[in-house]
Amino acid sequence: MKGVEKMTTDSKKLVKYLSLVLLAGIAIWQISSGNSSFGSGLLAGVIITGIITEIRQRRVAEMQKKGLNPYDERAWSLAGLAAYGAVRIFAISIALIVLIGSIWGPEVQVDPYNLLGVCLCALLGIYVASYYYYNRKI
Amino acid sequence: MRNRLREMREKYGLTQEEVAAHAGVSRQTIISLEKGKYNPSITLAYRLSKLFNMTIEELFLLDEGSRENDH
Repeated sequence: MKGVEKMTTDSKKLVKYLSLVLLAGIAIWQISSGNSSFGSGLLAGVIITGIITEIRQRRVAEMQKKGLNPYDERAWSLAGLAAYGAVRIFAISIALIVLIGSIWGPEVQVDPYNLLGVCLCALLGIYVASYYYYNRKI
Repeated sequence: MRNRLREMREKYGLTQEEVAAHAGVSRQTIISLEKGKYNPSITLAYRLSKLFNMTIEELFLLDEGSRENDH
């Protein structure tokens, strides 16, 4: 059973690193193709994500060595509360923006990919903030 | 829900980290439990009560009339 768990953890790690390598490849390709703002932004994101992932994995490994479980029931409970809170805040905010913007806002042309990227960042940002809020609360 | 976790932990001379390691949770979970901010699952309550040779009802005390069941 432990062997299976270890294999799953190793596979997850491999997928994470391969994803980062793939994204770094795309970033370098974009920089060399002249789309340097997108490419350098993506590359910076990949580097920051890689560093954070490495630090987090070391901390998790240290905890597991002590017999502690960082992904215990409280963490799942927090994740559930944070996800619910994030979706609620996001949905209400978007609904308000759509309502107010449709009535009083100017008509604007937006790149749908940029818009989706901004929405994704906003949702993740709200989720992280929500997680920290509940982590302090319970 | 109130509990006697801190009292029992101190009686047995254990640290929060030792209790957490025994129960298979993080130290933060034990801190939250001791502060009464988090209500454990039945599995965790069982593991903790076994650690202190108690029943769940002896370790965790449900306030009568309390319907607080948020977490």
